[in-house]
Amino acid sequence: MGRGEAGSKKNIPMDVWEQKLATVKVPKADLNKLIMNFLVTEGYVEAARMFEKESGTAPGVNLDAITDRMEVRRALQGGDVEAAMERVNDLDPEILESQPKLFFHLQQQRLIELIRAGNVESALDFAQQNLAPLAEENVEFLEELERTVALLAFEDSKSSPLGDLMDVAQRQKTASELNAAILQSQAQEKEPRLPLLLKLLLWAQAQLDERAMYPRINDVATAQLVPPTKAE
Amino acid sequence: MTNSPDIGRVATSLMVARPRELLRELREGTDRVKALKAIKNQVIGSKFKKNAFVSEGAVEAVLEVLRDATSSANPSEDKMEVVQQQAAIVIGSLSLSDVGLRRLISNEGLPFLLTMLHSADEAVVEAALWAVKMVVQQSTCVPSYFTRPPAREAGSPLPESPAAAAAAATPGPTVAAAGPLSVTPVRLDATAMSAIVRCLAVAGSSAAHTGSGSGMLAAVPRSGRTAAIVALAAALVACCCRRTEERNLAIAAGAPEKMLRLLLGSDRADTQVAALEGLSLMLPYQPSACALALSCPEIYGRLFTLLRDPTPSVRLLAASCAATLCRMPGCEQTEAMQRAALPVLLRLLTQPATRPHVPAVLASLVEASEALQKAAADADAVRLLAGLLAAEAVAAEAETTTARTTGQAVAAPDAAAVSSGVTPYLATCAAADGGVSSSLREGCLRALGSLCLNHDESRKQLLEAKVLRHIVKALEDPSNGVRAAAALCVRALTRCVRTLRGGLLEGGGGELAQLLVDMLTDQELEVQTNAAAAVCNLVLDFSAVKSAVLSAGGLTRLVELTRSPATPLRHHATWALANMLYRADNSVRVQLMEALPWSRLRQLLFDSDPRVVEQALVILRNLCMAGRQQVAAALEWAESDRSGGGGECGGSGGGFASVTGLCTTPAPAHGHGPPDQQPLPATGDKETRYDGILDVLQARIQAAAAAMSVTDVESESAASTPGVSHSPHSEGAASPPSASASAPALAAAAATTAGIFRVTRPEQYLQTVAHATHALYAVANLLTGGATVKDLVASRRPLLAAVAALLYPRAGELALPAVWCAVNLTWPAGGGSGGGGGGGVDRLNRLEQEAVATRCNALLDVRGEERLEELSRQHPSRDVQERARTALEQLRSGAGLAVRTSDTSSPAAVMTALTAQGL
Repeated sequence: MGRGEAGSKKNIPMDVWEQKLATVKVPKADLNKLIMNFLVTEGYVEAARMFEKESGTAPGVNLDAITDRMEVRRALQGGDVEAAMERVNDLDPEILESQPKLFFHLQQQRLIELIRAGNVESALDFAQQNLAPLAEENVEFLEELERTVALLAFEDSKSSPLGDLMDVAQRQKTASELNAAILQSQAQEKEPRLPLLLKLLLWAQAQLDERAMYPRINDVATAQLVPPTKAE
Repeated sequence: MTNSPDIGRVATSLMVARPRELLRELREGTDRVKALKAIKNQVIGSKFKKNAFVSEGAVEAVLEVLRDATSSANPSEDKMEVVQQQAAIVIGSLSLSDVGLRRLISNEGLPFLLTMLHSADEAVVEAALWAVKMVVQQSTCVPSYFTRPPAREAGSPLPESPAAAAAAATPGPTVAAAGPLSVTPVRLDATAMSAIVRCLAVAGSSAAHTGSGSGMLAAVPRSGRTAAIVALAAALVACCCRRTEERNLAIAAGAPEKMLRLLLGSDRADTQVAALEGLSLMLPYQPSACALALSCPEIYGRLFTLLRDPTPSVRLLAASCAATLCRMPGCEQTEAMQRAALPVLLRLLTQPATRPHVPAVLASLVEASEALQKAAADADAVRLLAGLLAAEAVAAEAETTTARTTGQAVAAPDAAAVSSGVTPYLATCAAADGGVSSSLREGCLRALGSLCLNHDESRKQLLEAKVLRHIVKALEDPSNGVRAAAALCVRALTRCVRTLRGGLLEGGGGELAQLLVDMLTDQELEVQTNAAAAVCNLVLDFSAVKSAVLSAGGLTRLVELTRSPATPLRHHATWALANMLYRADNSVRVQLMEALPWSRLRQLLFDSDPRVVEQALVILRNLCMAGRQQVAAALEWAESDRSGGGGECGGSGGGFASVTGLCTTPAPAHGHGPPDQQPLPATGDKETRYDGILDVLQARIQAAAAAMSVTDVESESAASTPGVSHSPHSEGAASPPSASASAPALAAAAATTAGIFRVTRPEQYLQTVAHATHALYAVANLLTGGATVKDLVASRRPLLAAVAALLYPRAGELALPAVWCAVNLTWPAGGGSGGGGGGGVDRLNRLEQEAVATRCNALLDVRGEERLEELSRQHPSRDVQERARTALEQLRSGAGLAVRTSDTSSPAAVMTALTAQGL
């Protein structure tokens, strides 16, 4: 901010700020719901069960369904894409049936795992059987397939220019995509509300920065209120 | 990559082995569930594998397993329900390829799935519902509503080249085997639909609350299998509602109420949205469901919330429901909903994803409210819609070209019919394109028509948008809805002369006339109605258009349309005919009289709709134009038709039967039966030849006169004559056409009631006044005709009495035409003033003078003099006063009573009249 502007801003001292904060009543039940929402969406089943027991907050969803979702994620991150896909098909056949992009990414991940295992023959075989027909229908898939098959050309695929495909992050990416799809099919939010609230907090502070000096939260991890530095 | 086709080809050869193995496993192996699961995991998501399995007989094999599983002789050790569940999912997945669907239908597999809907095992029900949903989706070629939007980017809906469009390769598996030719129609019957609809209700809760609005908020489970089943069923019903027949079945099976319960009671977003979509499709066809919805106060809050939903398509569906409900009589928050929905729609109109589906909803929202039309126009909606219309037209042209070059058929008309009406789903798959674009076209045109109907500024904007070409082209569209909407646009544009000069009438208007006449012959009622209205507007101001319409055969066509059972069309057609005659030259009148027989006009004069009657009276008024020849021609016309219908009129003279108020002809038949349904009795009375016209006019004038007098007496007479207090028109319809004067009876009835209406139903009263105005002018015009006509009018004492009753300051506007009647009646013939009856006049002149005296005395008989005097002093209008003075002068001089007082006038008048009669 410019020096000239500082004077025009309202200065809110710490005590006034805290007084104002004290007038805002947030029911405990709402806070609990927020926490439960986080645990459920992120898939912390055990923690959610414990929290339900202790706080009496209903999870709002079938916790067994979360277990399924977490198992899908675990299988995928462990490299067993096939098991993950079978699981998803058991959960809801519509997911992979209606989302060609997701389906392609899963098949691509299977191919990557085969290449990772060094099984060139079956990798090629798989690509021909399962990926080529998809790529024929969609140009975008064809490019991705070319990139993936190209991994076979390298002695050490991990250090190749296409090494990112071999990375754990690729598994994570696919797993997240699948997790979001499952959540959506169960008519649940794709991400927990808590991070959204934090984003909202940051946005609100940014808005306020232009108009006032006030006790600010600079570190969201500690949520410490930092008193405004004296103007002038 | 150049070698990808090779990969594909090799893959084909490798692929065949596995399906065969797996299917053998399924047929012969012991673990059927395992085999089914293996097949399922291969075919889900892959169109290629689906086809491979189907061509190896997978559909038949799985159906066989199902047959075994449901029969008592179950050879496998697997649990029957698990087999059923897995088999259903395999069938559902295979149905997403068109070959698979066709195999399923030809092997009569659908009943297996439908039977499973009744299973006690929820997993089986869920799987079967899913499979049926896949079947319906594939057969309508409409992808699932929820899962579609995020997946859509994956494959661009528009093929990049004509060749690509020709290839069967369409992007996602849900739109597999697209193309209008490959859609396999699947029809669900009532039993199937009721089984599906049954799944909408949560087990055990359906009986607890039926009908009443208060039970609508019953809890719907949030999660678990039951919730999933309800969500699936709702999505399936919504999907079914996109087709007319299935929608009707769903309504019959009670889906609206259950969907409403889900909309209000479920907090699962997907269930809510499915319910919303289904309702948006069903509500316009089910007023009772609307009433039910409006009986729940929660509906408003829910719709307001959904109008703010972050997903555009949900906002669109909510706006669609709101638009429907706003128009229902029971809606308590019409304005609030309209105000909330309009900005949402206008914003959606700017977003590419929702844009194609917005115009139809926008049209239905603004149709009913002029304020909304203005608001939408102010928000630049005309320009946006016109742009959309133009873009769609260009795209459609390109598509047609593409289809032609690749040998594909253009979207069949019935495909368009499937999705006509409000189709808010966001399917842009290639197959449904014909339907979507047709519904978009219709929506744009309808919305534009609504916006332009009442606002000049909008009409100007529409012309500036240069889309006239597309509107005119749409008049030839195969879809009825599109043509009707285009006709509405044309009609709206014809409402403003200024816009016409610069637009539709460029190049003289000859083409336009032909177009309009073609529209009059359209098979679609709405097109005809709008075309008649457009003709009505055009012929008033453009003589060129008038003659062009005439030469294109428009007159005959309009006359035909006056027979329509649809009241608005009859009204517009009659009105158009009336306007054709306005300031028309004699040839138009002649042509009209040729096309429209008196018997037909007489039916219109007794139409059940007062607005039709009014225009029929205008026709009569315009036909009886001032001038001896014109009047003679009109009377000739009425006579000739009568003789055609009822036999020869004799020439033998008789007394002035009508002087006594007795009608010698019955009132014409009502309704729209064939002309001359009631053969008129050949009375043999020379004067009766005019009675047809005069009877009608007299009845209308009497009705107004009686209304005036009754109004003066106020409610007294209403109480004293309870027997005739029906509406004047229904009374007329009910009265038997007896020879003893049904026209006066009608007038009396009308009179009694009109007085009441003035207080209680001002609309009816105004109608009576309007009718009488035209009738009075028609009489005034007739009085410019030959002496015979004048004498005939003068000899009708009831008619004169009615006219005289309106020569009254409190008769308001009616006094002017009434005074014109008096002026014309007392007009000194032959130009001679006849003041003192000088000795130099010849015999003929004297005869004429005597005739004038007779007429004047007839008017005196009905206290015309006092009336005129009062009028000349007390009517608020100077014009009326002036004319009244003229009439008074003529009356006094004509009757030779210039110095007499009114007290002594009567006996002398009678004497003169008798003298005149004697001559």
